[in-house]
Amino acid sequence: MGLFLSKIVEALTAFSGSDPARILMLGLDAAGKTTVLYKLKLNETVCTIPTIGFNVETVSPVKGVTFTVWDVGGQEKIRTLWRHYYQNAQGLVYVVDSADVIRMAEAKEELHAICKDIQMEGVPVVIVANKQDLPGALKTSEIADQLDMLSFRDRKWYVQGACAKTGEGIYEAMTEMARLTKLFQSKR
Amino acid sequence: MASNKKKQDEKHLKMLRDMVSLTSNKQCFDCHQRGPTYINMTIGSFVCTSCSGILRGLNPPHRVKSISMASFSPDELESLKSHGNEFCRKVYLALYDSRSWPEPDSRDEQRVRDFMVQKYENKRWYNAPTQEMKDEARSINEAAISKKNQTKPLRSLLGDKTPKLVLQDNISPQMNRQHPHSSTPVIGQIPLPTAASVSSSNSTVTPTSKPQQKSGFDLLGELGSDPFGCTAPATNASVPATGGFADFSNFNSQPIMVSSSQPVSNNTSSFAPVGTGSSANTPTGLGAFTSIPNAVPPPTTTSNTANPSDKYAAFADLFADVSTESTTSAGWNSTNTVTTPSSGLGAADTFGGTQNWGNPASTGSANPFSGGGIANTQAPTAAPVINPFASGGQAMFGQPTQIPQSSAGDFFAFGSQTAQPAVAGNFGQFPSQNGGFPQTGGFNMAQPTSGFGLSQPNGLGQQQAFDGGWNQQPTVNPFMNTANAQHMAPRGNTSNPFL
Repeated sequence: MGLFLSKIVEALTAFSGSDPARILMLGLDAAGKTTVLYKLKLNETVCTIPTIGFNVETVSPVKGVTFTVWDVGGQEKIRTLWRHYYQNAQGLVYVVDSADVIRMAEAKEELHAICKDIQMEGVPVVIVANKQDLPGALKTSEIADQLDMLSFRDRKWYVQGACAKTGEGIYEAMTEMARLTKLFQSKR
Repeated sequence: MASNKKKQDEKHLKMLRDMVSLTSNKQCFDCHQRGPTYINMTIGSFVCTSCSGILRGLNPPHRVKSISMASFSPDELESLKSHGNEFCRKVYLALYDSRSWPEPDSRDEQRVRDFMVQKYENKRWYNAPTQEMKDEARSINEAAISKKNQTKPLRSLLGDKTPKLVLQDNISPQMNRQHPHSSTPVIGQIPLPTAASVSSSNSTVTPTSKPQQKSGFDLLGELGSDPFGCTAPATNASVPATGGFADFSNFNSQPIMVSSSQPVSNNTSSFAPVGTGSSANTPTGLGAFTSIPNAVPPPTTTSNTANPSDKYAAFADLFADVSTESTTSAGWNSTNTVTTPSSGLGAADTFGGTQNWGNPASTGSANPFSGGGIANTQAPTAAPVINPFASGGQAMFGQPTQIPQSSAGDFFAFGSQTAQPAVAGNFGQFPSQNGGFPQTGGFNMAQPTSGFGLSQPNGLGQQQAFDGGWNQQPTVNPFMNTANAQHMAPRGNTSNPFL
């Protein structure tokens, strides 16, 4: 009975939800950030153009969870703008192009640079290993390896293979994100 | 270290910009949009933003990099030097035959994508590149880079002739469509006669400009779309002014990129005034106008008639004293600047002022400046009735553009009100009606050379004549289909500052 009541309370609070969690979605250009965002939002595969600036959408990929997802353009010279979005981020979705082996090192550099920022301290990271449908795509384990995820010790992370075009894997990634942000918030 | 990298980036950026200014690289390789902003690193072509998005989604995806938001390694730049749009055309469109698979309209994204799938995924028209082709591309690119260094300022000022041509080419489909629209509303009455008269007169003047245009056009299309067609007659007197206009055309063309339709309309409005105005005030203005032709042309014809004329007319009045063509051109240039903002940039400042002005006058029927008045009305009220062209323009271009036009029209109108009515009369008139205007005969009929100019070098002189004409037969003016016209004519006289 007590368990039942507590579940009701939890459901209610989730719905009335304080503010939706602020989720940052970053990654190199052409990784598929905007496509992921609009797949979540509209369940449609949109044809995107390179993002200048950002897109922001409120999505609830999982029942009872609402995210405000900020998708910031990833072209080289506008990555310096990322840090302006760090404040109060409760989760980082880092999208990588699994088939772009050449730029995996660059992706690693950028990811670690983000995580070094004081404002991103402890913020959970979900890696979306996008474009798993392409030939030559690295597997999630390889990506975790190449991104040197093991060096993250002060935060939760998760690597999820995905294909934003079909929507495969992105809801799983968001479910994981919801779990980790909840943990992160409760810790604070 | 950091500064080194920055320096290198700057150097690379400059080289890229030089390469982009090559004629073949000045438009998107995939959709011919002017002013590519991305580089397809996979094949080394210059593309626009929307095509870069499509390229990312191909299978396998192409790698695109923004010219301004990415940095390029020396290796990448080297390889780019031996590529470029011309090279890619020889490789990916080597076997291409436009009859079997027409190139898609750049605004139809799905078809552009299908075309790209054929081009890149299926390599339907592919021809393996040879070393010679690469060498040739490299020599061209390097020549552009070194040459640029010397001539850069001049270029940036004048722009290239070639690009304009290209522009027109791109637009041409639109133009053709416009034609019907514009012509219909206006009705054979106004535009056609003008065009006809123009054509005859044009032949003398135009030749220079025409060759530039692509042969692809059909005769009708040219007439309709050719800015010269309308304006040319007036122009004949003073052909020279081109330089100033050329800039203008460039300006307009750029905006097009955003939405192709808008820019066109803008062009028209700005230009159109000239044509109309020219008849009244003319000689000066027109001369400048003429020069413009290529880039702007199509728009001019269509929409110019009613509103645009006003602007120029005003201008002409202002500069009436200076009948000389050269002078005029200068005048025009200045005008252009004014206009331009409206179209491309959304020059709020200028227009805002103008519009305000127009309103008090009594936008609807009372507006003294017929041209200006009309323009005002168009945007908010009912364009269709009053301005035939406007309606056509709207259909084609969408309202946003037009508003600026109208405002511009007002602005100009202000200067010389009288002239405007006269202009409208000229354009709008039907042959039969012409009788009403003393001068009209001259206009319509034609004096091919002086035709629009009316003969009077002095803008003011003409205007007066016109005023008289108006008073007598306000109704005559074809543009004035509605009551507005009538009102306007008398008003114009009274309120005209010049009078």
